[in-house]
Amino acid sequence: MSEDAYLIVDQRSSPSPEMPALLKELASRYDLDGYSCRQLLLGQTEALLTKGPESKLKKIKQTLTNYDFCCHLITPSPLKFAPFILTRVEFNTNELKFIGREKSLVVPRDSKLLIFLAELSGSLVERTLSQILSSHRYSGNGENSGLPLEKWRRIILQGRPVLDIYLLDEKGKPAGAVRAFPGKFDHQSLGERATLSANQNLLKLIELTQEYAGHHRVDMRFGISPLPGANLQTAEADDLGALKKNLRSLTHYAWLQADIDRQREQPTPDSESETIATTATALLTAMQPELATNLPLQKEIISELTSGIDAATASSEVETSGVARSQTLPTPPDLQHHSTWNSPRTIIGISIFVGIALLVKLGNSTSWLGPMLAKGFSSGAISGLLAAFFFISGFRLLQLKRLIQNTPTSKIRSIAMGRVEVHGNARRQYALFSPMTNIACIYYRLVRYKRNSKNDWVVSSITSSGHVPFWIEDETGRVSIDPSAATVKAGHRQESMGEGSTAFGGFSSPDEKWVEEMIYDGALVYVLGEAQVKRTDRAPRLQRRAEALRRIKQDSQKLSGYDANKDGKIDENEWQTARDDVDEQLLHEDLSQSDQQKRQEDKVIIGKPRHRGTPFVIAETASEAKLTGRYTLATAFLFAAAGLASGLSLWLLLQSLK
Amino acid sequence: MTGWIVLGGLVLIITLAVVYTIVIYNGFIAMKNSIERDWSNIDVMLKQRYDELPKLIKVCEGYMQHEQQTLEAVIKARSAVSNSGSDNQKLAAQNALSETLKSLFMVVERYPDLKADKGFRQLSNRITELEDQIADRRELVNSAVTIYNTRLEQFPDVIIARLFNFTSRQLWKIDTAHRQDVVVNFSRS
Repeated sequence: MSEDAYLIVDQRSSPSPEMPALLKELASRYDLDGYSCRQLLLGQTEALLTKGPESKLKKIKQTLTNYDFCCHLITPSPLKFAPFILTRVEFNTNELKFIGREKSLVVPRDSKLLIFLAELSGSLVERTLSQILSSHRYSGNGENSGLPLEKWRRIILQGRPVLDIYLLDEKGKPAGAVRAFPGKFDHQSLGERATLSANQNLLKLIELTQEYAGHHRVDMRFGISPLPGANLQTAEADDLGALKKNLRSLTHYAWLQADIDRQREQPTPDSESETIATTATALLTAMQPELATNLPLQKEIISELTSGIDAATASSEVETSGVARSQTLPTPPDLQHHSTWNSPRTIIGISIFVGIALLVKLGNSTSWLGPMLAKGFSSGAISGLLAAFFFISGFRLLQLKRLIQNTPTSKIRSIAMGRVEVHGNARRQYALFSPMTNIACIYYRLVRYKRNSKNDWVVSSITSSGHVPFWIEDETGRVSIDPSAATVKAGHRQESMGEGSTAFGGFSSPDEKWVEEMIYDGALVYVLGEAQVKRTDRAPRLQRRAEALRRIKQDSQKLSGYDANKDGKIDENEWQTARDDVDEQLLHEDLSQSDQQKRQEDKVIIGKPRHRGTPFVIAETASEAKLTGRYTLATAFLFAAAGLASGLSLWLLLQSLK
Repeated sequence: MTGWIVLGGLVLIITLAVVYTIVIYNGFIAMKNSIERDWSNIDVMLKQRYDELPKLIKVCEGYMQHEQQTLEAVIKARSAVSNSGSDNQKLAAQNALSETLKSLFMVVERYPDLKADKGFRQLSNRITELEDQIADRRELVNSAVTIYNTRLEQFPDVIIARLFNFTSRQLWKIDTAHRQDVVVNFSRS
């Protein structure tokens, strides 16, 4: 056992605040790479964190358990057999019999079973996984599982589905297995359940198996779990070699799952009930699609199934709280396209681009440009320009650093309009997830690269969530932040390329890579921007006052009500009474309105300053001092570069004058 | 040759020094104006509180027939705010008003009907909210003043501060009386 033990972790959909500390500990104590660990700890399924001597893995397991990660230390069982191909089934009241050409498998009632519904081609998974996960999160359907099972089942059936059924012995070890392909077994043997659809017959087979099963689990996650030997390769329809390889992977996966299930340490009522609930949902969605759409009924059945376990509901709520919270959040708004052609930055950028393009063009066609550039360098002009660039950049950064240092941090409850600095935890307003790692975040920026013909990486696309507002909250309240046009410094950066490095088992091409920067939901964020009153339909008080007084003037009946001395005229004192009444009425209106709009979040938004040149900074940082520390280093670097470039420029100039 | 290099180095150092001076000077100006703005922002809140007090008193009058003294104290304090001239007088008047308001809210405990009144609840909540915000903004002023005063004494800012006569600002200070423990008397007056 010693050298071949696996440490498999149940992944989490989003990082906890303790995650950095855990990664640090894993790196310092066990020499595990923090970046890789993070990739493996986050996701929706299980992942092999590391393998090695059991004694070492036990310690790592203990560390992970301290951080509330559920993990399993297993010794993978050697594959003793592969499933045989099903040709027909027979069943009576006591048992279900799967019959193949040479073998058969008898499943007595209440047997322990593991059922795997998988898709073999991989291409369908690759194409739709990301989109499905995002839309699932945004639309918020499905309550007991991290995956949209109904959609997932549909995808599997649309591709090349296969069904593996494993009979487990008392110890939980595989005792026999059968594999069913749609249309490849005698569907008439299903009896009344048989349909004309091959895929439906596969589902009916699951339904029949379920009737005979005792403790069982339906697993549809093959291909998305980064487990050893269980990779799903993209296979063309006629690529039998790849399909066979995927079938072997599925067998590996099934045996690993049996090992994981067996090694789960004394399952708590919570996890057991969760498994049952998840299984129930999977089965319901697989067997009865109509039930999947009838959520109340589905809940009722699940509740019935889990009724014996008191902690079920509580656990499920805790486990899915992250998802449940996202379900209540609205879908992020679409990017509003603004014309940026007239912004100075764009004009300068275009001018530089056009200038460089012209120089390159001229350089190829004329004989004077090359010598001119050489002269520019040897005379120190080019290094002089570089020095000026570094100098101006350093100067701007120094200004920003001092502005940050000189601006006191406001409490959110009492922020005044105008330039303001706040620091607190960022919270999502919308169900925003990072596109590659699928982590709940308040901001992301994704840059994709492709390899060109010269084997260089070229940016192929840049996407960001820079238009999606979020909250920032401190101990006194929370306020909305509109990050459009902000300079965002994300605290986390992930990049990946090739297979096996994405969170879901590697579907990316080796000719593509991506870099994802993000600020997690709940991260400590610093904001320097301009507080503005949120636009409302409500008119200003003075305007409403004037309107109310005008209405009194136009209403003779109301007006006569203020004629205290009944002389047919409204004198100054009488009109003052009318004004007081209107003021009082408006005050009550405002007070009742402020009852509804008590919170700062309803009244104020921090966004882009109206004056050009005023900075708008959003940075993930534990403290302002750390942020300014980074700016100090960058400023020093820029000034040093400016000094060196100036020195070089001067030296070149003097050399050329000699 | 060496002479030119030394000269170039000097020009560079002088340029850097001038730029740094500009940054520091502009920083002082920005901080000074920021402190002024923060004070004005407090005034905005105080004005809001001032405007809403007559309504509160009006609501209270109907219920607190036996507390004329307390109500009059609030009215007097409010008048003192509008009549105060210098900054110090204003500060003292605002503090006094805050104090009388505290007394008023303490006395209100004896009038369940008044406490149940919707208008009173709204007004008292609003005034409490304003008081909290005023306190926060005072803290903000103190933070801004502290940063400014620290800068005045730091090197190299101190050189620019002395050169351009930037002087230190006063922190918002609480009356010594307010530092004492509050004694609550539950007996009726």
